[in-house]
Amino acid sequence: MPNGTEGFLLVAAAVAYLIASVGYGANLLLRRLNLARTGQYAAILAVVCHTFAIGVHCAVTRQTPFTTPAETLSASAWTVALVYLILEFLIKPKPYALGALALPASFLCLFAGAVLHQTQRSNAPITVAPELDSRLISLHVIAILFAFSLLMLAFGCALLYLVQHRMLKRKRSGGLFGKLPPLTTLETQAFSMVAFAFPLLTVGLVSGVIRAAAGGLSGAWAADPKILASTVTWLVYGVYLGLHSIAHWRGPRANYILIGGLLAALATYFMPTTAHRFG
Amino acid sequence: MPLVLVGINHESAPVEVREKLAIGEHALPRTLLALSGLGPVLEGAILSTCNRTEIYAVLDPESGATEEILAEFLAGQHGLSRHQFDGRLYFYRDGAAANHLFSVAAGVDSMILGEPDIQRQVKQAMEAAQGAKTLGTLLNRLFQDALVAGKRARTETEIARGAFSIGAAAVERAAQIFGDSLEGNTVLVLGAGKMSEVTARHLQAKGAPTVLVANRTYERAEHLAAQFGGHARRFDELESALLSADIVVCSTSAPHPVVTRTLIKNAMRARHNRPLFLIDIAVPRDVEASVGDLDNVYLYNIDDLMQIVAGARQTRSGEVAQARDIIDAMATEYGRWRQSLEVAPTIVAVRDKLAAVRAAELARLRTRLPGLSDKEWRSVEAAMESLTNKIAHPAIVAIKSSATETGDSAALETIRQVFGLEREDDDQLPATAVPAANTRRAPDA
Repeated sequence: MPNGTEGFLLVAAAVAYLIASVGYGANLLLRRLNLARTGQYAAILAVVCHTFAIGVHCAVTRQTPFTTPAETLSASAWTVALVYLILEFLIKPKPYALGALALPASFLCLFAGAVLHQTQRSNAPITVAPELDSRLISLHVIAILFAFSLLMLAFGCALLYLVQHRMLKRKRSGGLFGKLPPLTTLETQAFSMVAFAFPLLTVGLVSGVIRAAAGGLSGAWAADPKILASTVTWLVYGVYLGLHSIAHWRGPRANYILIGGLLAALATYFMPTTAHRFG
Repeated sequence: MPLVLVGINHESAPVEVREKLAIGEHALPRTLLALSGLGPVLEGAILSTCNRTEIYAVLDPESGATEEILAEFLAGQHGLSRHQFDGRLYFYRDGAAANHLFSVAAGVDSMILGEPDIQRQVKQAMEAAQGAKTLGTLLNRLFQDALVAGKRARTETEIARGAFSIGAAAVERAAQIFGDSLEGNTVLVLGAGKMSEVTARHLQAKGAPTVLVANRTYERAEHLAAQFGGHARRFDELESALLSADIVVCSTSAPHPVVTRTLIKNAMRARHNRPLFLIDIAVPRDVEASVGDLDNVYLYNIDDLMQIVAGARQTRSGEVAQARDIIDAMATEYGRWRQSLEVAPTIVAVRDKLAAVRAAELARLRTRLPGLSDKEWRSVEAAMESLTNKIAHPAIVAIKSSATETGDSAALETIRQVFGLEREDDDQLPATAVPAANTRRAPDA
């Protein structure tokens, strides 16, 4: 975790993310609207603190806020929470159940970013990769971050869908039954999120490819595991959209694809690479 | 005469077993006639709902028949062996049988505590038996008392308040699939039964704007559709109706499934896999069980919905206890009435015997005392009548008293001996020949 004002703001954001997670989670279990409201206010506070923290970071370092893997994780936390809050503002009824997944994801990303930051600081000083100077790379990272956030939320919808579907098929009452959004709502929301995320993902990948080609990287980048994995991820979501729109795939099968898609996206992040560098 | 009951219900068997013994509305008169055709059966009535099939009968005590004859009849009517239902059938006798029917009518025996529909179904069972002329004095009074017990339990206790119905359970599940408001969803009612109508009304109240009704009898479908402001469909248009429907309520009286896996599989393809919620409240079931395995199809049968209802049922032990008090009191009253009915011939015999003695003595006196004036003779007759009445009174009180003590026929027998009543009277006194069993055996072994 960085020191000074940025560090303070990030700690405040982390605490607020945690409170928001507890608020949304408790609302999911207890169905108390005031708990969801607590989560909502905490999430807004967290995003505000996090935004200022990113702003301070950019002002101090005069760099983009995603020059290292740790910063990218922190930026992911911010985009996931921000996109969730935008959706909460736009969608009725409010998708509070999704908040119970989105805000913990934000907290975990920020926490993982802080841990990674500590590790990097002790190992070596940060040097900025020349590739990251490019505006094309900024477009690449921002597009992928927002696409990832939407895909993360689509994953949340798919997860809730599968839980709800299972309870309905097993004819169970009690537990989470009656507390999750209806199946048709979850399915529609998941599809809409992927429909918005997919063009962003495409822009992110294409801008990365153009930058790689323009940057004089040899053809070896095309066979890089991380780049191959990102292509697979893109294909998974492309197949999902195709099957949903053309073959009218609905229900658990379609939602399992979304689960697989996010796993592919996470695998992409952790995939070893030689051609793709943060710094 | 023994009053016996054989039945199967939601507690003793799941729907896949229960439906094998269901007796549809149309088959009821024929089955009642077949029941009355059994030699030992003096009276009979059948109560068949989605939750239970029960046969009530009064048996001839001379025949030596037991409730087993009813179990074999019930299975035999469906071409099945009685032993297929070992452990599923329950047997009640006399007071326990009466108590059971009163509990059923009051909704205490229902999974939905205090449900109102069962009262109507008990009345229908009584009317069907009356129509088939299989209802005699004992069963007629039993069913009449059951209706009174049901009404009293509902009006004098809170048992029916807050009952979570099948319709409410269906709406709750539909909301988990389509959302709290069912606006934009189409309900298809398959079969124009009362239960489907009630369930569809619940769904319509949640905003489902379009209701389609398909029934074998098109006129009935039109009638019901008009009540919903919906559209009637012919039964052979089911396939096309399934394309626009989101929620299907099935309650036909068909003996076999009318909604098959193939039908739904094809429909799901044509409707682009939009979710389909099937509510099958028919017994026998209308929808093949394997339909529930299809993706995006959610199938709930009567037992599934009943389970939900039972889960949501509040603990209302106080109301149940109050209702049971009413039921017990009425069952006891019915038992007394039955026994008083059974000792009535003895009372008549005692009176006849004393009247005969009086007449004989008066005839003898007429020859011995020819000089008595008419006025004097009337005084003698009045005195003799008063005398015999005074002799009869304590005996009649004792006979009636014996009727209130379950199983105590000693006093009755003593009086019969004292008055020298002939044994052939026993033909009219079946109560004394019947063991006063107040037994219950449920379910059978």
